[in-house]
Amino acid sequence: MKERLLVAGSAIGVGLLLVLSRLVQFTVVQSGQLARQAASQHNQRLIFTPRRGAIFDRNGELLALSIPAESLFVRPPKLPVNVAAQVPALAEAIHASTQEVNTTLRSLAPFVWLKRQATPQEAAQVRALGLTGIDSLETQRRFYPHGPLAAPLLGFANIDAQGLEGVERVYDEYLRGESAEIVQERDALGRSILAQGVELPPEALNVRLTLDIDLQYFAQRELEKAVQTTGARAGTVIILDPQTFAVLALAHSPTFDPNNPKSVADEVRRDPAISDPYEPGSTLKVLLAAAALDMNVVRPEDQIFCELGHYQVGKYTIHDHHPYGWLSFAQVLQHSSNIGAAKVGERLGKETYQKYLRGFGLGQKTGIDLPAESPGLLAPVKDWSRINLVTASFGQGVAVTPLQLVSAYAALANDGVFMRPYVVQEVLNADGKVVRANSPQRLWQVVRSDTAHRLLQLLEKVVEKEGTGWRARIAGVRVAGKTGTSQKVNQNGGYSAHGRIASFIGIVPADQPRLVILVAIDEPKTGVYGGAIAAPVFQVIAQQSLARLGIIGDQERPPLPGAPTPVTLTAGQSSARRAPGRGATIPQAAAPPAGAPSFLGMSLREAMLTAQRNGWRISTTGSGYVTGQTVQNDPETNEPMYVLTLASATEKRP
Amino acid sequence: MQGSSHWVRYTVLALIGLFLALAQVWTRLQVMAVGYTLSNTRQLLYTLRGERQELEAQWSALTTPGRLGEQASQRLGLSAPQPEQVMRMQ
Repeated sequence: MKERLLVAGSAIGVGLLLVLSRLVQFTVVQSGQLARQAASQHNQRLIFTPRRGAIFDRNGELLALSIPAESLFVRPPKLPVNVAAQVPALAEAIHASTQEVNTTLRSLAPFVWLKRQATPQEAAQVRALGLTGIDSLETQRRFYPHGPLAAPLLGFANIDAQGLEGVERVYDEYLRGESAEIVQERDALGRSILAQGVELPPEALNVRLTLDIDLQYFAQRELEKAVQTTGARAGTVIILDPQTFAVLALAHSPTFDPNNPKSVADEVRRDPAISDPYEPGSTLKVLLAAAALDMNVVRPEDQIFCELGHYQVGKYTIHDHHPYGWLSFAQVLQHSSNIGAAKVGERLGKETYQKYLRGFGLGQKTGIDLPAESPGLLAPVKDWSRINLVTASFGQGVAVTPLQLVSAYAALANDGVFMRPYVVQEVLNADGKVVRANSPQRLWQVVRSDTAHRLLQLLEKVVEKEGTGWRARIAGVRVAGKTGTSQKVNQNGGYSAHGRIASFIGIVPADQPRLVILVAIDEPKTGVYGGAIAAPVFQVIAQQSLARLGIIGDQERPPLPGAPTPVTLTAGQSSARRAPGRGATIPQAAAPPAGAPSFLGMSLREAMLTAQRNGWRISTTGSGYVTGQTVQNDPETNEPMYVLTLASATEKRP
Repeated sequence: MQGSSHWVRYTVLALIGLFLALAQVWTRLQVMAVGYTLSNTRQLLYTLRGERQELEAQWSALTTPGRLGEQASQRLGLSAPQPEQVMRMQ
């Protein structure tokens, strides 16, 4: 018995010893090698590319974003034998022709794309067919929700999420983000196991523009209307904030849809506002006037003889559109006399004039954060003869981009200070924190502040009844501006017989400039003058933009006779924001003053109008018609305020 | 008597060892289970983010000023207000 126990014990002991020795071999001797083998089988290295960042307008409206997509691919050798029967269904699922699908499926290559950036619905339909040999990869698709709106400025990204034009290109490094390698465990079935915790992949950065989508829409809509009604070849509108030089809108016609950039020719995808210089014509007279006033070579009231429409300069004759005799300098601007401008230019001298033109940013890039900017054309002063100075005085022989010109006007509207225009306000991370901010960049003082103010006053006359830009007038708003009608240069270097660019640049409100708007219509068929073609476009855009920004509206109307101080209308959400907090004293009901109006039965609009006429503050709750009113003291100002309760018409209307 | 106390001690130690081994295995299984859950949750998060972005894109496309303007004029017969018709609410 004892022997048997000994034998059994020994056998078990030897067995255990063997197991222990293997244990030591695996865990000590070969541990490193085996751990590496295991890791190579369990661990999966993934290159994670973040979704491309979004682009927002200044108010947070989405302009571009990347959404999930699936790229479908085929491994032809693995396709089932009877795949031909499924071709029509496959073609229908991916919205392609059966011929295209057949070609793809019959490919001899081991891997062929069936459809890149398919929508989730398309991918689901293909999966539902259950075909072996067809699979998908998760990718992303760039989407521009507003379609063609601001397309040349935004640019576009290609199928590999790489920015090719516009902001997409310049800020590609931020928008694309950085790819990261992530190691994760997987089981025998290939499922991922995050046993080491979650390593969040990096996210791309987002970009906030200075653009205002509403202003952009006004600009685009009115521009397209104008191009259509005048039969023009093209058109451009730029709106700039003169206090910061932030670009608020930049529109072109024709334009393109960045969701499908290949649908148009390359030249349509360019941004002519910064890439295509043109001779500005009479709009350049404003820069001449600024220089002349700043150098005191002329005063607004100085009389200039305009040679009755014909002025001989060497072998060249300068013409005016209408023959003028004696005009004051202010009238030279108002009537846009070429001869008057030429004489002022000669008084100023070519060195001084050029110095100011360069001060206004001509002949050099503005430095805007967009690609392919042109510096325009301003020949060196040594190359200027007398005729060059004369023609440059009324905007010929000098080429500027629309952006350069609107920036020069913005400097006048900004007390003579020239700044760098920009389109990107901030770069933000996924949490909304600012990573990079483009603050307004003051460059230099071009003209004295008082010169700029005097000039704006002169430019207001251009928009008066007798001025060339009277169609740009806006009721209740002071407008300063200048019309321009420029001849286009033809391919031979001479001037085109019929090609004209009609333009208008305006500053509103002239007393407190908030917007500088350039409108240029290229080769209109129904007329040529900037005052007739471009000024009305400016008028509509400026009026709607000012209303949108709250610069004009009900508060701009002259007060009614006998009305007290302007009212502040409070309604809807404001009453919630202004509600007293916990522990605050509940306002006591105040006695309504004698003759106070009754709002009962009025609509919200009627109530607001009544309050405005009577100089009363109101606060409202609900919607519909006023069913109750009380008077309380405003907790903030301690002034009497009507609190109106509104209910819908179906509920009650007294 | 002394031999029996040894056996008890060894048995307790063996049981403790067994318990620790089982605990280690159980813990590892739990880690794996949580790992699967985390993996699925991350995938869900990714999918939901994608869906949210798609919805945001749809929202932006549906509320683009051009479309709203078209709807307002064609379906409701509205037009842009004149400056004096605009009332500002604070």
